This record gives sequence, C-alpha cells and structure tokens, in this order.
Amino acid sequence: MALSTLQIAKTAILARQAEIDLISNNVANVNTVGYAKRRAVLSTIAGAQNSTYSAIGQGVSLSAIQRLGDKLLDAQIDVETGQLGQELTFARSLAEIETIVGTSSGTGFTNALNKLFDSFSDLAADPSADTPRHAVIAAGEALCDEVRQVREQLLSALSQNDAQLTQLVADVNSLAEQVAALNRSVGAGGGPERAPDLAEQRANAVTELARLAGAVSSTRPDGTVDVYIGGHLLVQGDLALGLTTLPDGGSPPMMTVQFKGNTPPEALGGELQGTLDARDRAIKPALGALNGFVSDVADAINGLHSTGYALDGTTTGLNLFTYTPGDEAGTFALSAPIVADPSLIAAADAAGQPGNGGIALALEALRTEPAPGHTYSLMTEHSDYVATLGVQVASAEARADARQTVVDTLENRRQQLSGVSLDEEAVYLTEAQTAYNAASRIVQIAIEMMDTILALGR
Amino acid sequence: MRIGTNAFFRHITQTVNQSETDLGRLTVKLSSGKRIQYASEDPLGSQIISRAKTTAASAQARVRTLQQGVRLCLQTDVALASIAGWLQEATELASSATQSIGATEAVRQTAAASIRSARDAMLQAANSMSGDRYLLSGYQDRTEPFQEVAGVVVYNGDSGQLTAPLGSGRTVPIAIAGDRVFNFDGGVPGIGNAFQVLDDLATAIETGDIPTARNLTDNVSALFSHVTTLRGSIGTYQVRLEANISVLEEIQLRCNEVLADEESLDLAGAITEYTAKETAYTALLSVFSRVMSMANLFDLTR
Repeated sequence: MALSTLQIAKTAILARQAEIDLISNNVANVNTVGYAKRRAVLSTIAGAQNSTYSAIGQGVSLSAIQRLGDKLLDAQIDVETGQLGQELTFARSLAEIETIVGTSSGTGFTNALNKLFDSFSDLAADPSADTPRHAVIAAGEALCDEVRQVREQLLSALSQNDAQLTQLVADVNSLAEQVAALNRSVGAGGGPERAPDLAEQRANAVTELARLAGAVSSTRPDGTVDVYIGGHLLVQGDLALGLTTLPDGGSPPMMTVQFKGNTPPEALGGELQGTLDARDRAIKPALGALNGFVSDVADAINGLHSTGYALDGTTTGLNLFTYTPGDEAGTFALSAPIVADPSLIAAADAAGQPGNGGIALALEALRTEPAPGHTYSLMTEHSDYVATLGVQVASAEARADARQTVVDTLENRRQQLSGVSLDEEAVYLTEAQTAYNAASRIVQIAIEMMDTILALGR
Repeated sequence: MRIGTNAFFRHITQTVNQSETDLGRLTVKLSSGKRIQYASEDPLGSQIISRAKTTAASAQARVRTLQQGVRLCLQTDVALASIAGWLQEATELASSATQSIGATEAVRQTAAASIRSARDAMLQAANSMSGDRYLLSGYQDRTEPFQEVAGVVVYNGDSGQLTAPLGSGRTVPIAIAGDRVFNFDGGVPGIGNAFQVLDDLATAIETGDIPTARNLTDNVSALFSHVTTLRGSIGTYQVRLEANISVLEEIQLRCNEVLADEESLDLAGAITEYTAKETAYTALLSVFSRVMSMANLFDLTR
C-alpha cells in the first residue's frame, strides 16, 4: 500500500515539476515577440480495472501542453500586418516626396520662381540697364539649380527605393528559407504539438513575411505550412521558392520583382508592395510632374521671350530657357548665348527700343496670370500640385494610422489571450509549488508508513 | 480587460513614442512659429498661404517698380521745371529787349547773349539723367538725347513712352520723350523746336528785327505753356503711381493678415497644448515608474 502511495506521489511530483518548468518557460519568455503562454494540462491516471481499488486512481500525468492562442486571430494579424506594412511604407515615401517637392515655408521651388518673376519686374522698370539683366540670369540659374536639386533628390529616392526593394526581396528569401527549414524541423520533432517552440518561430517568420510581402499561410495535415504571395507558392513544405529582382530595362532603370523562374506575382503585399507603390504612385508621378512643370514654365516664358527684342534692338527669336523633351528637369537650363551675353535678354516688345520693357512686363505677369493654353497661373498650378500632394500624404498617413490601430487592437486582443502576466504566473507557480510540496510530504508520510511496517518485523 | 506583462510594456512603449512624437511636432512648430510645415498638415491652408505669398510677392515687386517710376517722375518734373524756367527767362529777356523804348544795341546784344545762355542751360537740362538713364530720350534711355551739331540741336531719342505696370496689362507713363517736350514732334503747331526758336529769337533781337522777335517771343511763351502742361501730366502720372502703390501696399497688408491667420502659429494655443502634452508625458513616466516600483507576486512569494 505504501508503495502505491509512493508511486502516486511520484506522478504528482513529476507532473508538478513539469508544470513548474512550463511556468518557468512562460516567465522566461515574458517579453518574447509572438510567444503565447502555455499551460500544463494534467489528467488523472486511471487505476487497474476490476479492482475495488481502481476507483482510487494511479496519480496524475501531464497529458498535454496547451498553447493559449487563437489561430484565426493570428491569421488576421498576419493579414493586417501585411496591409500595415504596405500602407506605412507608401505613406512614409509620399511624405518624403512632399518634403522634397514642396514645403509651405516658401522655400525651394516656389521661392525660386517668385525670385525670377521679381527679376522680370525689375527688368521692366529699367530694361536698358545691365544690373537687372544680370539679376534675371542669377534668378534663372537659381531656378534651374532648384529644379535640378529636386530632380536629383527624386532620382536618389528612386535609387533608394530600388535598393530597398532588393533588400526586401533578400529578407523575404531569407525568411522563406527559415520557414522551409522550420517545416523540416517541426516535422522531425513530431509536429507542432510536440515542437511548439519551433512552430512559434515559424509563425513569427510567417508574420514577418506577411509584413514584408503580404504573405499568407495554410497548414497541412502533417503540421507543415505552405506560404503564398499573390497566389503563388513561396514555401512548399521544406522547399523555399524565392523572389528575385530584375532591371526593367527602362530609363532610369528600375527593378521588377519576380519569382525565381521568371513568374511575375499577380499581387504582392506588405512593404514590398508599399515600396513598389511608392515608386509608381509617388516618386515617378513627382518626377513626371516636375518635368511637366519645367516644360510649362520654359514654354510660357520662351513663348513671350522669343517675340521680344534684345538690347541691341534687332536680335529676336531667342528662347530664355532650354530643355530636352523627355528629360525636361535634367536638362533645364538658361540659354547659353544669353548667359554669355545678358544683353540678349529680350525685354522690349518692339525693335530698336532698348528702354521698352513690354516683354519683361508680360513675363512678370505670368506670376499671377495664366500662360497661353493654361487655366491658371504657373504659381497657382504649382501650389495646387503641392496641395494635392499634401492631401495624398494626409490621406495615406490617415490610412496607415487607421491600419495601425487595427493591428494594435488585434495585438492587444492576442496579448489578452496569450500574453504572459508575471502575477498570473506567480499564482500558478504557487499553486504548483504547493501541490509539489504536498506530494513531497506524501512521499515522506509513505516512507514513515513503510518504516512503521518494517519496524514490526524487528 | 486583462493586461499581461508584455502588453503593459507594449502600451507604455507605444504611448511614450506617441507622446515624444507629439512633443517633437509641437517643438518644431514653436521653434518655427509656423502652424503648417508641410502641405499635408493642412492642404487647403497651405494653398491659401502659397497664393497669399505669391500675391504679396507680386505686389511687392510692383511697388518697387512703381516707386522707381515715382522717382523718375519726380526727376523728370525737376528737369521740366528747369526747362520751363529757362523758357520763361528767355521770354522775359526778349520782352524786355523788344518792348522797352529806345533799347540800345548794347542792350539787345546782351539780351541775345542771355537768351543763348538760357538755350544752352536748357540743353543741359534736356540731357538730365537719373543714374545712368537719360530722362528725356524715350526708349533710347542710354543715348544722350540732345546734341548740338554745327550749332543746331538734334534729337537722338525716340517717341517711346516709358511706363510702369499697374497689373492686368494696364500701365502708367513715368516719363515724357524729349521730342514732345521740345516740340520736335510738332505737337505745338506752327512752331519749330524749342532750341531753334530760342536761336532764332536771339538772332532776331541781335539784328534788331523786332517784329520777328516779338512773334518768336510769343512762340517761346507757347512752348513755356506746353512744358508747363507736360509738368501737369507728369504730376498726374505721379499721383496715379502713388495711388497704385497705396493699393498694392494695402494688398500686401491683407496678404500678411491672411498669412498671419493661416500660417502663423497660435502661440498661446500651442504653448497650452505643449504644456498639456508635457504634463501627460510626465504623468505617464510617473505611472510607469510607480507601477515598476510596485512589488509583484514573485517578490512576495517566499
């Protein structure tokens, strides 16, 4: 009898020891990202059948380790994290474009254009003098410099975008390899129930893939997971298919993302898609708008300037600005002969009248009046563009904020369900410790009982 | 709602980050004094600011141009006043020489010489400059308008009318071309140019041709009236310029009011908001500190 008591107490000690180990593991992972607390599921060991003593039972055993998580919630978080990655990346890039293209402080492009119009006004007041002509050259060069600077910043953003794309693809491939390797390990470990830590690492990698590329996963009956991006398999069991970047052959060259084997994904997500969106919906349109605005400014000014007359009273038909169609911002410059000889600036609207500032006056009027073929003035069109960009930035940031709130809410819900609380673990630890102590006491009592029995024989 | 240990730290981290972002944003606003740094903070407001700045810049540039026009008008008026003065003096000298009974030849010779001096002084006034611009050259403002060639004054300028912009294609003259001032354009019919008239007058007095001299004296009087009328025109131009400057300055003022409303930071509001955020941030840190200093069950487990 005492021996069976010892046996029962032993099962209790072993079970509680396992429970304390589990609590210890929970406490150790209190701040581990993606960790879901675990609880020991203990069950009684049934006694031998057909025996009066079978109702007593044979002790307790650790029948399972329960992971307190919600797979549906985890999947939802993956999807929302992918959306958040996409929207956040796009919003940040758009905000960067806004910083490059226009601020409300009056610096930069708007300021340079205003200075050019100021110089036309000064030229109109004294068209035959040298100083205002040099001022027009200086203001024109400042505008060209500003345009080139904005263009260079946009091209730099484009290049950084490509570098980011390449890095993201490398990260995605690395994570895909991790998931495939973990699939192998989880399978070798006897499935996710037997290898919960590996399964958790794999779940974290899948969440990261969702954030980076909008990946979704499905679990097979054998416990391995397949990962998809845009309907294509990225990870199939222990096989990782990767993404790759290829130059698109355009000018400037940009990267395209494909599956290895040249299959273009039908739809990406996450930061990868956000990065592509930033390029296609923010940086490229900004470059296009800059080129368009440069040609508008140059055409409007040249249209008037070419009808005017230089200081010599005879030279006419000269453009003030030059550019090459297709790369307007990159080639935007003052006409070289005019830079070399500012007297060639055509301020007069009639031949042989050096003191006539009719064209200079008309050029200055472009600041507030529409150029031919335009509904609004150049300045208004630019401020409209900056404001429209501002609306897009505000809208993208609002969408990203809203998505962040959704992700935070879901994450909070997950934390409520599966997050480790030290106080809660202390309660469970005390409970397990008490049970452990009690079982130890029973061992002591059983030993005393055996000593009593053995003493009868002496 | 159950808050786990990790969730607690996560909340604290998120709130600290948010508070720091808010405080940073307010610090940028307070240090710049501007309500809007980027269009995305208030797209409509940024558009209003941009337009107000463009309008103000345009008005400022026009004010500068018009003020230069006013200066030209004033200098032209001074030149015309001088010209009128010499014409008046010539008239008085001629009248004195042709109307006094028994004017001797010596008196006539002296009067003729004085009239020629007046004509030379008038030539000097006719070539008056503002900086390096000739006032009475029309559009040829870098060319000396009047030169004496073989005793005859010729006009090298043109009939161009220097103007200043008033906006919307409207302009106001700011000078008068010399051919009009000295009647090279025949604006006062039947009379030659002022220099020729004075030359002829001096010759007539010199030679004792009193009827011709009297006739020419009347012509000089007519030229004096003509120049006086032109002075009136210049005065009118100046008044128009000054009126437009006032309007443009008013526009600038309005634009500045718009900028003050839309762009300038409400300092009192921003400081209040900053203080509130700072208090909340301090409270957050205090709560975090207190919660962290509280014993948990592990501390109490023996």
